[in-house]
Amino acid sequence: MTSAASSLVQQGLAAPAPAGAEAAAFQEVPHAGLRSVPNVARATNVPWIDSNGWRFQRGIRKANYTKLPAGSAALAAAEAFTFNVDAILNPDPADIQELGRMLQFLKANGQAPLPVLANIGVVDDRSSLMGEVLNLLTRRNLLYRVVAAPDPALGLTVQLGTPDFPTEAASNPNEFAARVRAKLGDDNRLVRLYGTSTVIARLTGNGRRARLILLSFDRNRRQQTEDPAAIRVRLLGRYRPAKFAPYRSGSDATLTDVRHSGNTTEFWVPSFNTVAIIDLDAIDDAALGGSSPHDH
Amino acid sequence: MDRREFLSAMAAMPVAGALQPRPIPSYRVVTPHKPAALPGMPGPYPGRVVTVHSPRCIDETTEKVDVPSVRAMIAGGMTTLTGDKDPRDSWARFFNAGDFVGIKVNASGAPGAMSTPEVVAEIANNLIAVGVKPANIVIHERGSGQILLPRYDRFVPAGIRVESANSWLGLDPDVYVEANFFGEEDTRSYLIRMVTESFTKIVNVPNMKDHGASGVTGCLKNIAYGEFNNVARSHYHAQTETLTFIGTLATVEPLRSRTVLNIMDGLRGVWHAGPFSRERKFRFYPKQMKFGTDPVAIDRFLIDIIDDKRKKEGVISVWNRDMKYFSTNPEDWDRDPNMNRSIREPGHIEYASTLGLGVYDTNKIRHTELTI
Repeated sequence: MTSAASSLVQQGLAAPAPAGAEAAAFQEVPHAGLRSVPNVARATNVPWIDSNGWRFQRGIRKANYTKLPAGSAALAAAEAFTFNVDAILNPDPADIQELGRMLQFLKANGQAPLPVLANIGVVDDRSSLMGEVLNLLTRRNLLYRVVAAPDPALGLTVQLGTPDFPTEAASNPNEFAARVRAKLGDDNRLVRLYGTSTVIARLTGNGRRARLILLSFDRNRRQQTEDPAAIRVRLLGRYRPAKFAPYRSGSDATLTDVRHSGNTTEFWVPSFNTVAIIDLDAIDDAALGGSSPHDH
Repeated sequence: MDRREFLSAMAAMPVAGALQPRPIPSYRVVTPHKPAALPGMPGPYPGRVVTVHSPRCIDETTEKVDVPSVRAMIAGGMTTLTGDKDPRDSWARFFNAGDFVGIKVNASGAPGAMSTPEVVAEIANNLIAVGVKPANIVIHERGSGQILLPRYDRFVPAGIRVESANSWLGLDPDVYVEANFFGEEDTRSYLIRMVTESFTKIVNVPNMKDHGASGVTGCLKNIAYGEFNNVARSHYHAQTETLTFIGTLATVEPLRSRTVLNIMDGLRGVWHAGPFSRERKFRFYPKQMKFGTDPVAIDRFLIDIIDDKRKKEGVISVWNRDMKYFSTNPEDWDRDPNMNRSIREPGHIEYASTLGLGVYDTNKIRHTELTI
């Protein structure tokens, strides 16, 4: 934390920002947020997510959020937490109180990181074009890992110059992301979110348990006001929700209408502010005799 | 949307005369509900429409509604539909004391045009007259905003509630239609839970309105897009999926089985820029109501009502698909009845007939008109 937020350092919620060579190891990243831009095809505006998720997926482990504009510090902290990145935050003084609340929340819900879950491997040629492809894959919750070479353990490998992904296709990253989605198939996606287009999901797990973090970029970082069923989540795999921690929501906020159909898990997530953390236990079907109480 | 999506959208912008028909989307309908022995739509009176006119039902200057006229219109419409002498017998064919009834209004044009509170109140009175408890009557819409504008609560008997999916029960996770229209991420449209878990019957009370995407909005669109969420995704582009999506949603159980009566409120209507009614100059006064169980048959006549009015005003037909009348600027469409915001799809009504929802051919519709 920069000196602007020294009070948070004093409270033990953050460490002082490094200086000198240590600081130089932190790569500058822009602030995260959501813009509303006019839609040329309709009378409406559409949300435009600015996220660093793809940069972190690509390898940045130390990020420097310089010049965070007012209102963006809490989201920056949540974004860095979501992607397990060390970050320097330089908050606007108006954000100190909110950032303190967020850091308290994140501290209370921290845990040793679990392996990233993904079923798409992207062979990154480090081009700016591929960067935009990664950006779109992140924003569309097509969960991927950047790999050095095709990994047979992943369901789909995205590599430019292959028959499925010709190099020229990447000239339109939007269509390229749609191509990746089509090749994988929606039924095979590890996470689907219904009811929102402004939330990024991050899924980690180790076979016994998993953690799903939902990062909301909505204008006020909040899904529909006090909606107990703001987002429907569909996960590939059978899980039992173990803990739900939404930032700045009532203590009675809970996941509802949990369903298992085949090898999937679905549930409603109530409205939350900025970030929600969902811990899940994998269901041992053998122990349950092949079905779960939530079977539907 | 990002820069790339913008470029893609720009590339997809229609050129005059260049639009090709879109293929019918792949729909996945998910519901555990089975149809009733006689589904409400098209119900016991397929291909049957009763229209009741009343020159006194609304004052065109003040828009004040004449309640005795409304009462007489509803009584006349229902008895003519069923063949009974006493309106209570007509209502008793559809509803009884054991029912929990949802009145599906249309408030998307409120406060300028909507299901008229006086009409809704008279429907509620008739339900109560055949034994339905006020506590078991819910005036509703999917969304929470516009339904509060008409203040239905001030017109109906005590105990009747005004609700939306935001205020009561939310969405049913087990009943939805999944389709990917334009590459959107959110591909599901969920049915509101009050339909699946509470209502035993639904009275559908649409208006007579033009619609910038579907051509007109009547029985089918009110019950389909008004009871499912995430439906606007079908008409974010010049070419829409309203042609098939409306009818597909209307077939989903239990919505189809439980929608047992359609009463189209045509005291006033909207002939352009619907479904909203921001400009009074686009409102008109058909001064009629239509009754039936067949939503297709009623909506078939609605097309003519809207299109005839547009012809009288000297503007393009709802069937006009010429891209020279298309604009992406909402102000053009709001201001100019010769501009379209989408390629209108009044054909959604005929398409719904192919799904078994009713009779489209006017030669096969028995239409009775009376004037109060």
